[in-house]
Amino acid sequence: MEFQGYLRQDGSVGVRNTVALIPASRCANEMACRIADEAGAGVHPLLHNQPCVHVGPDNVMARRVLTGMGQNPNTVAAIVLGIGCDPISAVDIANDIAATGKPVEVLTIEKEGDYDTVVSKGITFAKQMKANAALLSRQPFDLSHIKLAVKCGGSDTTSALGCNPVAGWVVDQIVNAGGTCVFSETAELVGAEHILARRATDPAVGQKVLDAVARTDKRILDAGVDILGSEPTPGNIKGGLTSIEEKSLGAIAKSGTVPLTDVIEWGQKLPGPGLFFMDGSANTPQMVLGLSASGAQMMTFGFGGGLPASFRSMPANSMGNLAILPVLKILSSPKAAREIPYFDVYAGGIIEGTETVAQVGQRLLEEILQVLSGKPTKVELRPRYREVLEMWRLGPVF
Amino acid sequence: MKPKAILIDTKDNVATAFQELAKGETVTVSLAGTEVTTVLTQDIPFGHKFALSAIGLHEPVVKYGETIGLATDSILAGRHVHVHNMESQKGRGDK
Repeated sequence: MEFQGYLRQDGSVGVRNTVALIPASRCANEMACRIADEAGAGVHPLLHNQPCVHVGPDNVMARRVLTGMGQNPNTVAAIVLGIGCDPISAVDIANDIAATGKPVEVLTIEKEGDYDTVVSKGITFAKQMKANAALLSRQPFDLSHIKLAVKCGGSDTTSALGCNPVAGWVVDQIVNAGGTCVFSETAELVGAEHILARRATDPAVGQKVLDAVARTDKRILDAGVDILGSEPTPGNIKGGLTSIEEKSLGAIAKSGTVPLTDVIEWGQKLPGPGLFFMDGSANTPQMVLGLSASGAQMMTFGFGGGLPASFRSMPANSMGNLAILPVLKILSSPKAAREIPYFDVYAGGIIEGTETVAQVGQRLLEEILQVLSGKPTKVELRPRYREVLEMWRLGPVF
Repeated sequence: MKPKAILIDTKDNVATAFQELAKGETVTVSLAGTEVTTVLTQDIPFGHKFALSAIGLHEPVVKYGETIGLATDSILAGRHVHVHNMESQKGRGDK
């Protein structure tokens, strides 16, 4: 089994050729949009909310993420845009991205003198980068070159038996073939952390899982709140999920059965082959940002049958806006069967007793290989919406 | 055949409805040689859980072979099990 991808200078394999416009801070978002509007298809602003009032570790995380999005193999070339007084220097971000060998430009108002010059130079650079990218051709790669992110959302009790074990079946195939898979959302490990920790071959890694959940637990306890209503969400509860333990036990099915290789930090680059857990936010606009920065080439997104299954192209789940992380949607619940045309893979046959997890898993793997080879997902075919993604933040804001 | 409900682990004391199930219906779930038959005493919505055996107050509700919460009421076999009669032990900063 193989897919067709683009070999990058650093040895990574891209599956899309996105010219990425990366704002160094939220103040540069508008310039990125202006340039993208003029430069046209293939040029995408990666908008986010990084302000200049975050402190210490939150800025370290943000720098990692901004750099990581530029280093993502789907970014064929990048333009880093800044004001000049951005808390994370546009030049530093550009230098870190350039280390991968891909074309990078940096434009700041401070250096160029004014806003209009940044925009007009940006348009020229972006069009040139797009033209150069059009000359690149795909070549075959085996499963060991896959870096897949897996996520679930709009969960109900069918998720644990449909989309999640199906994604898990694919994770097992990819990891056993020497590839890489990553999943995240620490709050959705609460109550299932002991099971994931047992899957770590190295006890120190198992401890990292327990520690990550303990930190999340502490945040809940410090806040003096019941997580019910947030985890599980009101929609989850309507779908039959009663407690975070029940949701977590279903959610980890998407990580398959292979051993856990390591726990990485939010936005950290995937360090090698295997299965990784990213300690991070369960808030989708934050989670997607972290996973894209890890170097994942695409993400599967498994749905239950609640209202989110009927979102179609609605960007509320950050499914349509990040060009460097194509999203493939899986539907679990036969109750939402009228939504099948809006999903890439239907797993409801498992619930109806007409298909097995392995049968749907095989179909999912084949679809993933096609998407990696350039086939647009259902989400990619819809008009893009430029949602401003969010930095994960643990410290105070001033 | 379209199953009415599913038992996920033989240690479980709840099953999950895979169809809209009505009060009075008899439902049999089986897994690895374990077979449990329950007469539903309440309507059970698709995707929701019902008790396979009596679960006493503060006793664990078990699904996937794991405790997913504790009963906040005594729950008889065939009853709907959800936020009204069980609660999470995790993420309880309110307690």
